[in-house]
Amino acid sequence: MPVVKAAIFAVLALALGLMTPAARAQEMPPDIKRILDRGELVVAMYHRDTPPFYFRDEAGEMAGFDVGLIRNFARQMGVGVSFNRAARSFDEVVDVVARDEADLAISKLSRTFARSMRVRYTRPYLVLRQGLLVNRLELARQAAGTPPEMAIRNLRGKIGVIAGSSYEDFARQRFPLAEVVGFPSWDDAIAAAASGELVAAYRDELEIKKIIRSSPDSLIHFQTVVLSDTRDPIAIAVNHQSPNLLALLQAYLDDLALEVTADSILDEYMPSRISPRRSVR
Amino acid sequence: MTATRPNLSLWLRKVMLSPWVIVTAAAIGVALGIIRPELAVTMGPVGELYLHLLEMCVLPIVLSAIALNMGRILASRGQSGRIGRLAALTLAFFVAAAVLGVAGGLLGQPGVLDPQTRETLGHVVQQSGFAPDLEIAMDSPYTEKAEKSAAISFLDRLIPQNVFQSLSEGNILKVLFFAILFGLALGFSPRGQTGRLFDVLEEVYSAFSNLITWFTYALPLALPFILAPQIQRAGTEVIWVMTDFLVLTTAAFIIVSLLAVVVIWRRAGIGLGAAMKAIKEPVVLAFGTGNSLVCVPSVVEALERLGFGRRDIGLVVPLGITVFRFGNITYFAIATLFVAQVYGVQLGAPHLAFIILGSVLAGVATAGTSGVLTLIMLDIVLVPLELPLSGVLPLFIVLEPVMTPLRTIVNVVVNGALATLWAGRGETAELKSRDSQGVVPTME
Repeated sequence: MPVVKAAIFAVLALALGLMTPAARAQEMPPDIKRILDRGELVVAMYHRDTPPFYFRDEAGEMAGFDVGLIRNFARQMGVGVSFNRAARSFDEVVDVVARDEADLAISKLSRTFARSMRVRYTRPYLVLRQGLLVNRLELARQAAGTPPEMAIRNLRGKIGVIAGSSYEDFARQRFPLAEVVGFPSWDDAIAAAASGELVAAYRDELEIKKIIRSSPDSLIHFQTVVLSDTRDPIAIAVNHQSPNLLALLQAYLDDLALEVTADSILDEYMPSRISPRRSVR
Repeated sequence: MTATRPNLSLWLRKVMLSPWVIVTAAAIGVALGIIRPELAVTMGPVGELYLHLLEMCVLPIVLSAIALNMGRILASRGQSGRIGRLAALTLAFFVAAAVLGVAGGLLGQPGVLDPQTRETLGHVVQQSGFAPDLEIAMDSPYTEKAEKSAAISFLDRLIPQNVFQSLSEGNILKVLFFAILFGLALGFSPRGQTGRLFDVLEEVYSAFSNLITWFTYALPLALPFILAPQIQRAGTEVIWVMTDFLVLTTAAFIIVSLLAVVVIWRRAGIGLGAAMKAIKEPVVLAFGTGNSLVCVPSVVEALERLGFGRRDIGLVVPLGITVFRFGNITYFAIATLFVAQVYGVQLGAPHLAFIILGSVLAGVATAGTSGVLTLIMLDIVLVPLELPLSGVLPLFIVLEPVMTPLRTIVNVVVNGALATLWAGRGETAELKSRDSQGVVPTME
């Protein structure tokens, strides 16, 4: 009997020890240790809200898919989260991590080759395809009766993107005949598209579909296009000197086994309003 | 026995096809579609069975009527010049239908929407599922589908390779083409040899037209089963939101139909009331079934009773109802202006002239099509005007259950008017004695 008691005691002690990782910080690798010492995970994030990934809710609290994902990670580490939202562009979000002013960046951040040379990325937790919001009237003009596929490949006119986003480069590569216009924010780009100034706005499929969900009348004016053979991998970035944090994040994401798509995130955070037909019933 | 039959038939026709009975049945159907949508869904198959019964008779009627009357007309002397007259009349009617549509679209401004309406329409488009994302592979080589030229593909839709295959597929355009050629050939055969075949065709026509007549007695019973699911599918929301468009098209259809009634009235030389009464039954049938071909025997009979030549009516009515879709032309003209207004595109006089021409072409191109395929022909007008169809097509699709019966009425009535303008008179006495149908033609 005393042996059993001792065993239980030992297990409890071990469990308690695991629950207070800060106490064991001395034995940790340096990149993990400094987070535990600080008691806070510093997360770099783009300065504008990007629902449903990160935004301030009615109570002024940070909320959204990315926020939930990283809060849960910090909880498992036993530390708090603070957000560094100084970055004025997505490239700047990467800069913040590269300069080691944040432990990691989660900001619906696209993994690009250029960025991967400066920071290290986890495997993508979400793979989006690229999308276009194309002015139907302009598309009809350029297609002139031919299939719209050809007109989109040879799109002419102005294509709006967020300045300093990965889409600025994508747009130049994909649409050589078009003029790429960078806007300070996505809202500005959409406003320009709505006014007829742009032929198309270019971002990931999720942002494209989001516009249709939030203002359904835009579906009359815009054709949503998904570039089916493109990949926009969304991943978490860490400083190149944080290999253990990277491995920990990787293990965390693997265990979560997330299976999310643009549509599943939209359905969860922005369900389309109840069908008017159903409301009549 | 033989004496009571026609009486029963007359009585049934009088009661079951009275506008009051039809309107009541339609109202029940519409009400059920709105109040009990889940019941309406289960009613659908019954309505479909009824429509299948009617459609069953369509091919034999078109085939026999056209072959028979084409042959008879050609067999009699001095008719060749009249074909040109029919073409000219048809063209005039085409243009008139399109002009009325354009005028309606310009006056009614159905596509000028306030933001609230625009948003609700966007909802309808989104919920309809007819405006999907366009998925495009950017890097794989694009293979263009080999397309035939417009003229070849039109002829392709017209000329049957195997007439029995076309019959079994219900391909009405190809059957029509065959029937015309068959009638032509019969007309040029020596009289004595083809007389018997004419009799056979006549019997076939009259048997199937009897069948349709009998089936239509059940129309008031079937109507709720046809209309309730249609209303349920259309959804009431879109009807309220598209009111401007709906009211405008309905008004245009009524005007076109009334003009057609005036033509019939003047040509028949009877009272206006009598003319309206004469076409009452085809109109009721067109509204109830949404299938203009089903109305062929009814129109033929109505015009015969007004004293028009049976051969002429028997040729032009089935031919016109199959090919000359005047209602579609008016509809396309209005729909084009609607699209231009939704997208804020200014149209000048050349554009309007083109819409008239394009609507006629698109309307003719709908011959032999039904459902969404009909609507896609709108691209014939929209593409040259550089207007997009895909964004508003869902609205038209959702409205279709309401528009189809109205367009059918126009197709039926205007083709009736066209027939009266072309048809000769004075065969009535001969026909009365020959008429083997149970119903004695009564002059009203």
